[in-house]
Amino acid sequence: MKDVSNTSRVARPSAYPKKKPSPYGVSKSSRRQSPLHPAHSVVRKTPRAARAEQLAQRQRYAQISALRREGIYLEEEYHDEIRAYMHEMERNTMCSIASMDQQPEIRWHMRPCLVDFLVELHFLFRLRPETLYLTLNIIDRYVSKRVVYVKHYQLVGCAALWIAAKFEDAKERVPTVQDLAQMCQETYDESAFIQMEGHVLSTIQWTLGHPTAESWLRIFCCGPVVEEQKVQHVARFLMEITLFYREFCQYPSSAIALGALTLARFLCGKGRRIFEETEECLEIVEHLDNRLAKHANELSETLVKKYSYAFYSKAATFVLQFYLQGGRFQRQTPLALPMTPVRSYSPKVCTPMSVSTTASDMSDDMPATPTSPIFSSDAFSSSYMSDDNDKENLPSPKFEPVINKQLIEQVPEQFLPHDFVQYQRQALHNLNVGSPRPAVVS
Amino acid sequence: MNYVQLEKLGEGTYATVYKGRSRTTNEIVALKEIHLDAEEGTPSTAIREISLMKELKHTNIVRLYDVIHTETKLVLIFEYCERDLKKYMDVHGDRGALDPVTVRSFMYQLLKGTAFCHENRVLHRDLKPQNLLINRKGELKLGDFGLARAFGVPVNTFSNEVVTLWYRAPDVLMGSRTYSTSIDVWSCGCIFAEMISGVPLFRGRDNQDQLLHIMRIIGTPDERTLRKIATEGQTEGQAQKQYPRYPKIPFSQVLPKASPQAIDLLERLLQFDPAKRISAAEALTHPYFTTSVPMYSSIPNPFGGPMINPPYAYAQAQQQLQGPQQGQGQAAYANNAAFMQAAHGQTQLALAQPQIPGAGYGIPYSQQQAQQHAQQQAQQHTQQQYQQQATR
Repeated sequence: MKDVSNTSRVARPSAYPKKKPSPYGVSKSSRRQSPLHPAHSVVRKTPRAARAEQLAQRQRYAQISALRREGIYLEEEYHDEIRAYMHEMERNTMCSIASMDQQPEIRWHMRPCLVDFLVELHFLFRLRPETLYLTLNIIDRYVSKRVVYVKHYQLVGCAALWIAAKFEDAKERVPTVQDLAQMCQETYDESAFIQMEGHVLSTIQWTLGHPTAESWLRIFCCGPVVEEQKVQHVARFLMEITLFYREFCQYPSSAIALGALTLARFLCGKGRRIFEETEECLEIVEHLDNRLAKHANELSETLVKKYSYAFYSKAATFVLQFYLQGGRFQRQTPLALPMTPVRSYSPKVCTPMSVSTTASDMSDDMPATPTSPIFSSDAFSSSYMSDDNDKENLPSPKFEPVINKQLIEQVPEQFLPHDFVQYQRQALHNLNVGSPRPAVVS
Repeated sequence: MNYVQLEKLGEGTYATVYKGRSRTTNEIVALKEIHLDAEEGTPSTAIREISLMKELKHTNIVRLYDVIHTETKLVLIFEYCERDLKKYMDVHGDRGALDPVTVRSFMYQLLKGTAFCHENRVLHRDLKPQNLLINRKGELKLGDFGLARAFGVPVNTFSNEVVTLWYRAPDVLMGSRTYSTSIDVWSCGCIFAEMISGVPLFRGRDNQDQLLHIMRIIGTPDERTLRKIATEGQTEGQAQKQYPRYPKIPFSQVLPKASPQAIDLLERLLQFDPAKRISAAEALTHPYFTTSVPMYSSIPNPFGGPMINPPYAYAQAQQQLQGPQQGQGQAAYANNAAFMQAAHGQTQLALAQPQIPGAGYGIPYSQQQAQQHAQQQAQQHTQQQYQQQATR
């Protein structure tokens, strides 16, 4: 019984004053001099080490208080515990590629169509960024456990989005069952969504605490250095690309976030942080790099459009420009070389929607884009593209999500991000050739 | 269903709670029935409550055993607790006020449970006596996670219409949406004061009135703090409100019964500025919990000496008791007949004097006392060490 309190939590020392430095530095440490608290033992350090530590601590305090002023709270006290817990949860919420491969009907080449549809819904309902990642994680875990027929693939996707939104978003943002039915062009009954929701929840045993790539990215971006907005947006664009393809499903979300951030930093000409790069992270960078270099024009149009807004620092335009000009990630970069990619677009295109603020990015409110983007009728032409990954040659039922285009307002040309319109003509033209309208799946 | 539904225990906004008994183990449980709406599907409160509570397995958090999901309703099967803290205070308190030993035990367990939530990146967002459950062993458990949610690092913005008014932190009252773990800490402070005095500390009628109630006791903070918090919660174009300047009333005057250490802890929990509020994990190591029992006990403390970290005393006692009580077959009952009798006797005692957490559960009296004595000595020893270091 003696000293049992220490066994349960090793990380935290039991003596009261021996606390980790609090994020609120000055205020808390001054209060600590209350006579109620005995002085604590200090481990002896060399004067230089002590000074260096003091300096580092002071810098960290300054940084944290700067962040606080912008309304960003780091919850420093629980940082280590939360991170450890997130790693544990991420292992508990992995999907199984092996069982997903065994699905009798659904094929990996159908995945991009579904994700494309979900990205669009997610954007339309202005849900939190985390919601999209949680949605895909729910789908993957469900598909790892149950046989899903092609005609139900979209229904599973919608149910997962519904669950994720209920977990993650404010009540007023959560789509209603009518919204969902309409978005699927009344392919499914309203009751089907409710039934599928219950089915998905019990299959994944109500486990929704998946730490998303977005939440990891936020942690990484507020690490020792606070990342620039543009780097963050490029990383988000890259992370969303990973949702579409099989090769990224095997990695935990923390590795996805770190990989995307590493590549984003490289693309934005920031120095490498070799000490942070894990093997997994470099594998992801390589996958992303290959995909972008070889299949840049197969990327989801919806996604590219979303990240072409000034709100997202035109991340998509920037990344695609780099790859279309033949740029590649260099694994062994001499750190001294500036790796700024050549930019050809004019930076003066700054539409009124370019208000990019940290606070609103973190908030309930999604990008302050003036209107929803247009989605051309052939957004699903990608379902016909081939995917050199797996079973695309097997005869399989076609999967095209149905979507109600009437709900989406058309955006007048002048409101579209300028370079996006230009870019679209250059890069995605081959996707735009005559694709039949998707037939209604019954 | 595998459970027999017994009497109704209470009715919430979206659920009804019944007492229930398992058909297989005979264990008493609490059944929370949620009616499913044909339009909305599974309510988001239920989705959050279930998924978060499944993750949070801790002595001081009500355990969710199972979920039964049918077409028309959702039934959550929880660990059964006799009553909530509000009722407990009404029944056992002196006009609601609990004795110092119970207060300290409950406060420790409350902070323990809260710290566990925060370490697992969960905000409870509705801590109040009605949501804290007490079982017959004197264990306090956090319940009702209907308003809870997971938070990220750095913290995202959330709705500011959370927490029952009387337990709502001043920064949230002023409209802050970037609150975090400090919001639960404020509620803990309010509950602490309520356990000592028997009445809620700040009883406002509405948002503004609540804020004034708070300022009247802890004083109006200086202009800078006020401005800082106000700008965090303000929507643009809204003029900053003027608040009357109240001086601080010392807590020793508000709560004359509280010991100096209790007051010091309360002071740190009820900081107007969320940045200055102590964390739950930090509060657990406050001298209030680590040094000897307050002197002014109205009910004599049979054991005396410092309290040894209550939840762990439970854990041990539980292990010894749970076998026979939760019935692992008749053989277990027969084998432990003598033990059961003893345990039953002690359960009664614990009910009568629940202020001693896990009182004598499994551990014989003399042994427990001896352990406490050893602990006390060890503590004195470390204190001496501190003093030596201080003088050096």
